Amino acid sequence: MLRRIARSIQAARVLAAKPKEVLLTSTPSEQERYARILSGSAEVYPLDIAPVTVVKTDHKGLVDLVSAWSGARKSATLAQDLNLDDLLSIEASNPMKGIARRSQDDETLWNLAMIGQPEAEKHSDGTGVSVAVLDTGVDYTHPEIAARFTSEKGFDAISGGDPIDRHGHGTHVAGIVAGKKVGVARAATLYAVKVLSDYGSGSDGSVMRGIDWATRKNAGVINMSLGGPGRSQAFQLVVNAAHEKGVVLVAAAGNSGREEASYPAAYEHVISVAALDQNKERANFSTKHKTLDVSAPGVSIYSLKPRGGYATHSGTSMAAPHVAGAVALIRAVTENDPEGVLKRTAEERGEWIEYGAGLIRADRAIASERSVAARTLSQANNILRRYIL
Amino acid sequence: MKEIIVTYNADQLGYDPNGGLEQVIDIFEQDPKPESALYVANTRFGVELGAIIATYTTDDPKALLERIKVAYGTAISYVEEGGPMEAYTAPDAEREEGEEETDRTD
Repeated sequence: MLRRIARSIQAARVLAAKPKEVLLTSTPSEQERYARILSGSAEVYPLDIAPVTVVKTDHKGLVDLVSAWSGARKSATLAQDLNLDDLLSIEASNPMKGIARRSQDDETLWNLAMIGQPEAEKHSDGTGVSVAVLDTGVDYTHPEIAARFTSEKGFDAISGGDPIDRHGHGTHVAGIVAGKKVGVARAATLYAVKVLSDYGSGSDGSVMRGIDWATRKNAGVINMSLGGPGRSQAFQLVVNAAHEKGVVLVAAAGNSGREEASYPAAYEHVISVAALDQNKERANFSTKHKTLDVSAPGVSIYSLKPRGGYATHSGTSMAAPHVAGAVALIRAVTENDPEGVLKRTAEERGEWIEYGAGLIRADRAIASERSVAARTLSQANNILRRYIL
Repeated sequence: MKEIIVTYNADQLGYDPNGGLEQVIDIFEQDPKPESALYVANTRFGVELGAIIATYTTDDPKALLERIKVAYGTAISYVEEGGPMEAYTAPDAEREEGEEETDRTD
């Protein structure tokens, strides 16, 4: 009697919900029988992992089934041999609106997943490494990166003023380097070095001044999401000087899509970065060249825009800061040459003139350096033991 | 306007990196004075070689170079024309749902 009351209450709930499908829970031994009999009047999907059967039926079929189960009345359409005693429950199937849809972050931060940033971040966040972003300036007030700046925001090589970004390019790039949610090295320090005007253009002279300033400020990494066709001996001297002082220079390979040299990417001692799409294929705009070093995501990259917003951009400009961020992660845990580490641990993709050593993998790079550190420590301990004993 | 980059031998220009000059550009006492100047040291074969890289902008590069040669001729290592630099953003392949905007720089 109690079971009949309980079933009646449940049946009323199911009918009130007007579901398009119901879930039948039975004993395991009866699941197949229910499925077979109901399949004559409804769409039936028995689950393998539990004695649950999903039944899709129209309203009439639903009323029939539920009424019969509750004992309210006999089913007119269901087979008479459907013994419903072993049918433990009938529940309305709740609609799962949007459950399969990825969140915006998942959708737009594929780039970080592709280089293994989430795994790498468990062991390194770039603490203690400063990255100079040589660009159109940076909106250092953006909430995602404001905490990454010290009181000295940076340097304006264009007009000697405030290195704030009025263009948008530099802020997007800086976000990829160290943005709180969208960045690679989320604890690195940033410098805004304005070497491109508010219209996005500059010259060899302004960029050289930017490198010089960043080197004197002991930046660990310099990102240059910019370039031009002209080679300059003076520029190479400036790069050499920065390199000698331990600065790692990273530059975008260029967006011509052709095989050609772009500078500063093609200078010696500069890590030249090609762009990949979401399928890890070379972006069609990414410049090809023998001086390429590595590849990184560069198509539809979600990052920051000035005055607190977000935007999506594409370009080798977007690929380079992934590498700059990864270099910051590496420098935070090892003194080994970051370029060598990145190349050694890269995911090979194809021809060198298109991909360099391949897709950078921050996770592999950090794991590799931690493994080297552990091995070195172990060897040191062994030597110590030998002397002590 | 064109950008002219002149690389000078720092020694021959009389520049001492530890000499107490407030700014590198102050070594240029005669006209034409550059808009900017920076000192870089490169080590070659164990020897540190200092260079001063000076940047000028002018509408008449030929005339400017004549004046530079007169003033600092013996210290000049080489002269180059500065090239343009631009931000490397490409047109976006697609726009993500919910984005506020998609800027194009090129």
